[in-house]
Amino acid sequence: MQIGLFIPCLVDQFFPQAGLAVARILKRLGHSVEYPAEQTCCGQPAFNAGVRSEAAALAKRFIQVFDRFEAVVAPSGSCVAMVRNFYPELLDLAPHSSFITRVFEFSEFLVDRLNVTDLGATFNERVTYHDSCHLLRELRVREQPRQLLRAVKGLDFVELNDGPTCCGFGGVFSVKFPEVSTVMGEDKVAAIERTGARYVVASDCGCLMHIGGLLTRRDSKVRPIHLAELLGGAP
Amino acid sequence: MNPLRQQFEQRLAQTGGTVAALADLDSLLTGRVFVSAHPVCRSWAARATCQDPREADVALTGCDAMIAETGTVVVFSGPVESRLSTLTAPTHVVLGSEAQLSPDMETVFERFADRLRPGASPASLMFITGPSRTTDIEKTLVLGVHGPKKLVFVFMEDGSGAG
Amino acid sequence: MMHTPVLEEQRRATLARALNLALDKRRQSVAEFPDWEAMRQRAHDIRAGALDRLDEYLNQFERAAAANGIRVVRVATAEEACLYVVAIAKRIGVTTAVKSKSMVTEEIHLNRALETEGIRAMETDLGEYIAQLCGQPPFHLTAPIVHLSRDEVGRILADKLGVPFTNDPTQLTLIARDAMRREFLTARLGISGANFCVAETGSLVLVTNEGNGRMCTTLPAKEGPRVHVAITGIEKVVPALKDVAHLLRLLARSGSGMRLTAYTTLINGPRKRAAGEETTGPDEVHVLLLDNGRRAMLRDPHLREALCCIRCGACSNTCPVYHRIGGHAYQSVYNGPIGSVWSAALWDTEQAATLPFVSSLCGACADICPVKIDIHHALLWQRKLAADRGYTPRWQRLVWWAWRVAMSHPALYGFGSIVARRLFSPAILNRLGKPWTETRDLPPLARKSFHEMWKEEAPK
Repeated sequence: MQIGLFIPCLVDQFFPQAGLAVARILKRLGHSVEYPAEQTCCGQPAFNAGVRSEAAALAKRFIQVFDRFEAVVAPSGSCVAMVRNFYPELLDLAPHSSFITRVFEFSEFLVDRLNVTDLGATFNERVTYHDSCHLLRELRVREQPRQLLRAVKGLDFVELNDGPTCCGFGGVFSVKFPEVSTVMGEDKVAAIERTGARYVVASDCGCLMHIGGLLTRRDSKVRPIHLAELLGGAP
Repeated sequence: MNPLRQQFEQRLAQTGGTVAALADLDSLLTGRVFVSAHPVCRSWAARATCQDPREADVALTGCDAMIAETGTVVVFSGPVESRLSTLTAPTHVVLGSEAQLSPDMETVFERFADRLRPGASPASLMFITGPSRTTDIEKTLVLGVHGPKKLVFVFMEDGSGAG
Repeated sequence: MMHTPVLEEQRRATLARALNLALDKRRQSVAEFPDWEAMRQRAHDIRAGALDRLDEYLNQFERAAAANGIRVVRVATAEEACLYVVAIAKRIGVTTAVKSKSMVTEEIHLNRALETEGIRAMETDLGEYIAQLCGQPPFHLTAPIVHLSRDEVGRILADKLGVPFTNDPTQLTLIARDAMRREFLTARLGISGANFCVAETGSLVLVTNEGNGRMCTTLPAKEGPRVHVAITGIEKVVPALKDVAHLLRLLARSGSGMRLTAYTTLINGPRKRAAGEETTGPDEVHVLLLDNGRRAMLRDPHLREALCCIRCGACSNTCPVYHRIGGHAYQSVYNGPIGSVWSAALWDTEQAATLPFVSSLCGACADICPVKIDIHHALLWQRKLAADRGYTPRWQRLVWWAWRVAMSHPALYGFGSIVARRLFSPAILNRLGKPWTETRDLPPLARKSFHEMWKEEAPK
């Protein structure tokens, strides 16, 4: 399959390893992966800020960049939700337009589209999983990441059991309302630490950045890691 | 036991209401007793010691229907039951019979469709689900705020019959 | 920028205990229905269908209610509604009114309007009564004092009613009950909202657990003319009784986990006066159908959805932001997630326009809503309307413009990204990132961006 790799801004700037892991895994599964270098942002930050005309300009651009691929895959539930759930409203597209149905979040692409759950990875650690809100509630992806994690050899999976509730990131929200966002994040981190896990896995770099920022600030031993990076192992 | 009756009794109990046997009704009528004009209460009319439900300790009334799904007693206001007879006394004893049971609220509305036309309907339809309650203070349940603290339902049938 | 203080830890714990208890009970109660999702959809369809043919149903309600002897009045604004109630109070010569809990009367600030005319409106929902005693607005759509501890309630009653201090909820309830009972037995003006108006039968539906709603609408006073005024939004109309039955099944379960609110009353009219008909009940029943911005909401397809709300409060119970800041932080009558949508729709103020931003858009509200309102999407839409109305400062719009220009030119974005990683060491990044970084670290920028890495060596 001819797959276009969509690497959201946060992955590009802070977590490039997660992007590389996605490419590595897809190639290993025998697909052709291309990274269109002219890609930038899907427009979500402006959309969430209410500035829709600026968001629409980038959304149109995004479709131009990725339209030629059979499938577009991104290591982010949030950015895929932007395309799948909000582009129709933003650009007046049909909700099942052929472009939108070709854009996938990484874990749902593996499990639902490629029917792959076991990537042959090994990870000898206790791990918990944070459901990012957009992946869970916009894309309704809940089981897929868990299936992938449970197939990893040596991995001791433990549920977070905190709702699931938001980590307090919320994009601009974490900047506009830092106190509220921090308290939400602190409760999340406390729940993570209660599991005794060594790693907290998520499928969105916004959450990982927020949770990670709180973990390092309190000198926690728990490390945040993107699902793709955990599954992709060392190059 | 009639399965609707069983559900009704169980769910009424979960709201804090109780079910008493007909044989025990006598012992419930203590203090200032108000007895409503409902025909079902006629046998106890002589027990009335108080004509005003505002001043009663116990109010004995009939009802128009019961709902099994929610353990609810339905009373229509009118010549036999006033809007107050089911509200102001600390103990409310309701008499009813199994034939008045409906599985849910929809069925009650269907059953009484004729009486619920504009211009013809009772002025007030009271759906009473357990005693008066509040959880406003630290979610602690307190019974008997403005309405009865005790709601006792008495079936006219003993409940052992088949069907 | 609106300041949204986080509640102090003790208060947060009190609130969380209460809200989580309501959520637990809801979960158990909903579990009785394997087809809960289909029930939500049906509830949504009932509400949305009623709004689609709103005028038709309002007219039908008006005719049916009139046949029942109810006077129905359409009021466009808060002022009109308040004036109407004041006029009734003056006509029947009362200086006290008893009030059942009603968000619409909060919306129009009825108590203030009555007070100005020398009429005291006494709240009779226990929580609302205590909130009124200490001069606080309701903290939550359905639980006005959910944030107060029993000690605080005890002090308020001791202070305001001059009774000995106790913190026992049963004793406190009895104290308030006795104070209110005296008023109930003489009150001649009762004010309530309505949970639903039934077009088919001309009925008002009113739910309360304590029985105060029944007191306010029965008015047990023995002498003088007695009047019940119900004030409600035009959106509350539903076609038929069978619809009410379905919505009630979801309402109490969603809010408190009860199968049905203790007292669910269908009010069809004043006391029937024919000989031997009825001994108690008001002489007149008036229903005010309030617009106050609702028709404008109806015209906007996104906001129309919000009019489906049946005020169960579940979205506040589950909202992670509400849990941390509490109801008063919203500084609006309608608070919590759906309250933010409503506030921004009803009031064209900077404060109200800010509320849709006080959300992480996590979507827990939409998932719990019994009438399936896409609450967080409505919040997103309100953010757009806020920007359109000019509530987004000019400099911010400029930033977004610049951001879009940069993002439209990959070379510009790429150049910025290279410059940033040369200039911004973690220390500088953490300094620039304030206030974010006051409580949280920012991860270091990767040594090379994904873009650069890929250019050098795409993985094989």
